[in-house]
Amino acid sequence: MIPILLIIVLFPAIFLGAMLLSRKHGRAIALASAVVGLALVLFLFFTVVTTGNTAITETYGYISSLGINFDLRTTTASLVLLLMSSVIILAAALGGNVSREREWVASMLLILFQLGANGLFLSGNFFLFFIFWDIGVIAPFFMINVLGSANRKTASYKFIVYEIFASALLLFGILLIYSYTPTHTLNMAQAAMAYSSMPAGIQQSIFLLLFVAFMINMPIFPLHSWLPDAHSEASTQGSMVLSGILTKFGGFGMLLIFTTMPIAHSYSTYIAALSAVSAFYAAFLIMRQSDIKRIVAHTTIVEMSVIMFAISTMTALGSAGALYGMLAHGISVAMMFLAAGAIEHTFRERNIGNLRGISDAAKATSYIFLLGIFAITGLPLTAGFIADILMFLGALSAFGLYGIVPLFSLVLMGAFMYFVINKSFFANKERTAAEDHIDITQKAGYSILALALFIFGILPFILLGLFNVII
Amino acid sequence: MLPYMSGNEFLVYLIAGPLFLLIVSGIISMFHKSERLSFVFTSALLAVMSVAAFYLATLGTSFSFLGILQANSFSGLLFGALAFGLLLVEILSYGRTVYLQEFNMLLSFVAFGVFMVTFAYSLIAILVGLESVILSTAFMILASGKKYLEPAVKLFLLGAIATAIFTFALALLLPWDPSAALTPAVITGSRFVLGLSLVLFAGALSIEAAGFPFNFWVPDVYEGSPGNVTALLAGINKKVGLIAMMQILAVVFIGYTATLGASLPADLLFIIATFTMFFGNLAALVQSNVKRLFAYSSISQAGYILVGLAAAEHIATLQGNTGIQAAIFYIIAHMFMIIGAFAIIFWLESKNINTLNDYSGLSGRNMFVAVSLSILMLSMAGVPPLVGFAGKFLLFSSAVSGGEALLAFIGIINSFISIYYYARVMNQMFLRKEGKAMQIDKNIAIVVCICLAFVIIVGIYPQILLGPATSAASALASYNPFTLG
Repeated sequence: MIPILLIIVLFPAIFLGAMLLSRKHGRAIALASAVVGLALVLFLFFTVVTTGNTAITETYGYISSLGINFDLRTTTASLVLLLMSSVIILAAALGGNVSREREWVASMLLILFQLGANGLFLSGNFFLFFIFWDIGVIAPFFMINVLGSANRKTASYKFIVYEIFASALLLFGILLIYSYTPTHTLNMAQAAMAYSSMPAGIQQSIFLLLFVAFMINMPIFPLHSWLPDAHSEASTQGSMVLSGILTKFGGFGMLLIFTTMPIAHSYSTYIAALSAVSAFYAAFLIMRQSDIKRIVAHTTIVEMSVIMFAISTMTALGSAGALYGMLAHGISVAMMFLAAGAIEHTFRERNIGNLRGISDAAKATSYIFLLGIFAITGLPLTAGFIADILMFLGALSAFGLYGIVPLFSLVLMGAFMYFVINKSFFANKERTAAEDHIDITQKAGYSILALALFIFGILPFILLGLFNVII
Repeated sequence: MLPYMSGNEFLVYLIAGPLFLLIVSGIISMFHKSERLSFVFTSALLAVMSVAAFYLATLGTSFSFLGILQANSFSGLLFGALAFGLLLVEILSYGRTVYLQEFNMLLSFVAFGVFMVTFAYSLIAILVGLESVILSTAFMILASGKKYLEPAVKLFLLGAIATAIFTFALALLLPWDPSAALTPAVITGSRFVLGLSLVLFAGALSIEAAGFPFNFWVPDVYEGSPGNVTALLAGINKKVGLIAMMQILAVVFIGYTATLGASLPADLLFIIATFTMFFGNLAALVQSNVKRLFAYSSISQAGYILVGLAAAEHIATLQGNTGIQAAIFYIIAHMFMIIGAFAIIFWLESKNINTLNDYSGLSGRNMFVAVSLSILMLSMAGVPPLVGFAGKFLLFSSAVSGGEALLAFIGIINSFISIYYYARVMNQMFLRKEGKAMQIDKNIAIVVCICLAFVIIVGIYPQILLGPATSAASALASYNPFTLG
């Protein structure tokens, strides 16, 4: 039996080492790492599908004095999100750096982030979860701080302050889990069995600490204000992984605590209300934006709030929908950021008022952006449609007709987005094709993401077969 | 002939012998011209002592010698680590110190002081050790040049005050612990005098360990001294103070909590730790001189170690005390982090790069320095997978399981605050700016690489250090002639 999980977690380290040796081939090494990552994840996926066993676990000795092992495990959620992150990282490595600036640093950070994401989704105990969480935060910090655009310093500050605050809360929650489990374990499966026997106050503290930490990361109103700055100032690759993968860390954590901690029941209604408010708040915020990257960044808040709403239904359908929603949103938002990055690179312009009809000049980019809007608003044949159906079916069964309310935030968001794309992409048409500079690798990035969106939209049973039991 | 010395005892002479040679050679070298010879001899002896001490730590035996000293894994591990730290300081200073021979002689006195404190089985030994460390450091500052008079005098005076308070505290303790041995004091009768003695000990040791009310000298002296001595002050001196604090408060006064139910030691350490962390971190937020910023940062780091000591007091049994184990781990981890950071600062100050503004665009001038300093700072801020995170995890988890959850929370909030000023430095370093490329000196690069290797390797696999730290903590517990509850 090959230690497939360990290989998936640790292989980026080899590419990082290769990176240090060669400063010239940064881009090629990052691409190789992304391809190898996707291949390994597909192999894992193939193994899971053919054996029907979604819960693969691997344990290696790590810090024996503390009883902490190097536990790795797969769950439905981790498989789906791992697949998503591999696809996004491949697209980012391929087309994300269209201007070819500071390629070595950019590729290095991308592989570092890949290490964090793979480790986080596969970690079987909270110690590893925290370690990979922070790796996944530090890499984007430098993607903003070193590679970002004009306001990158302020944005990266805001980002790191929010995220480190989140990880401080997470760490304290983890320490509480460590000292209140009878065997002093951080293993997620063992902790899940121990929660119900802890004192109620401790359970509440753990739940709230972890909830707020994940809430900052997702993000949910009122702790969302780092996101628009960070996502709009990061490099294109940075925006793709931030929006596509980093926000899913929080979603993954939410699924984890809502499915294992019995105390979640007493909070779920309030949390549902909060996420509905958050979705509408962000949908209205979008209408005040004029920067195309900020608009895409705000759609992330809307979508993640709706996903949080689905998780807080605490039904099997809702959780499955949330997971599918994260998959669909991750891929589509990465696609839109890739397109937005190309627009910025081609026209040196991010303000929607000044774009003035780019659809003739940049055909591929415009239509890909349109496809992204289709996907996040849940048009049939895209993965977003499946996600919306599952989420709102779950919400209907949990909250009755009130469960449908957040759907209108998606409608609001969609209405404004169609308005934007019509006015600044498909009307006026003052731009000419001579301005289009994007090359084949960028288009390859588009097609990978678009293909993934359609595959998961038209053939949802590929993944839905996994969803008999969530987590 | 009968064997008159066991193998283990011989090992102690393998440490004490080079130490003696070091002192002798230091004195001889003052009358000798060759700097290189002095450097080679000093570093070789330090390396031999360090290796022998690490070997002693792995043996797991425990025996006393000369009546006031005791060799076991605790002394072996800490002396080995600190002797290695001294070696790093020696490498840093080579070729950059005006009076290297005098410097080396004083360094040998520091090594002697470290030896006395880590191997101490008696409070007298600790007193002698602390005194010789702090006084020789004061003169080391002077040996670096005439312009360093002010920090030297400050350090000298504070060392004198610390010694006076320490002696008085010792005098108050003697009725309960007439042998002045490093064993839990047998507590009967008046608690008041013993409590006073405890507070005075905490005060005297806070001066060296940069605990809150007595650490206002730290930023001035750290900033005023040359970078290599600052590395010594932050890496060795402060650690010696913390080790002494661990031995005295967590061993001698452990019975105070257990027999009388008084939580004075734990509460006292709680207050000192809280204020030290907040003072260091909040003051560091507004600094514009990087060396001063790191001085405040190292104050806050001492606060984290005090969290472990407070937890150790609260746990109140010596065997299996996770607080002591975490403190030992973090003392060694922080020594490497801070020596690495001050090595870089030492090199930059020779290029006249001192303030935060001077640091801007450093990554364009020397990428290696910018990246290494960032990694060391991230480690100090407690970002995984670096050693600072492993240490803080141990400290705070020992605090939570020891019943000091509030202190753990304060500590976590403080590490969160600290990320802000570390991010400020990183922000400046990675600004895009044109500048002349700088070539790093070989001896600085060696020290930085060693520290980085430690920070990354032990961070990824903390068991390397945690195993020895655990056995060191249990060796400290075995000083105990009788068991407490």
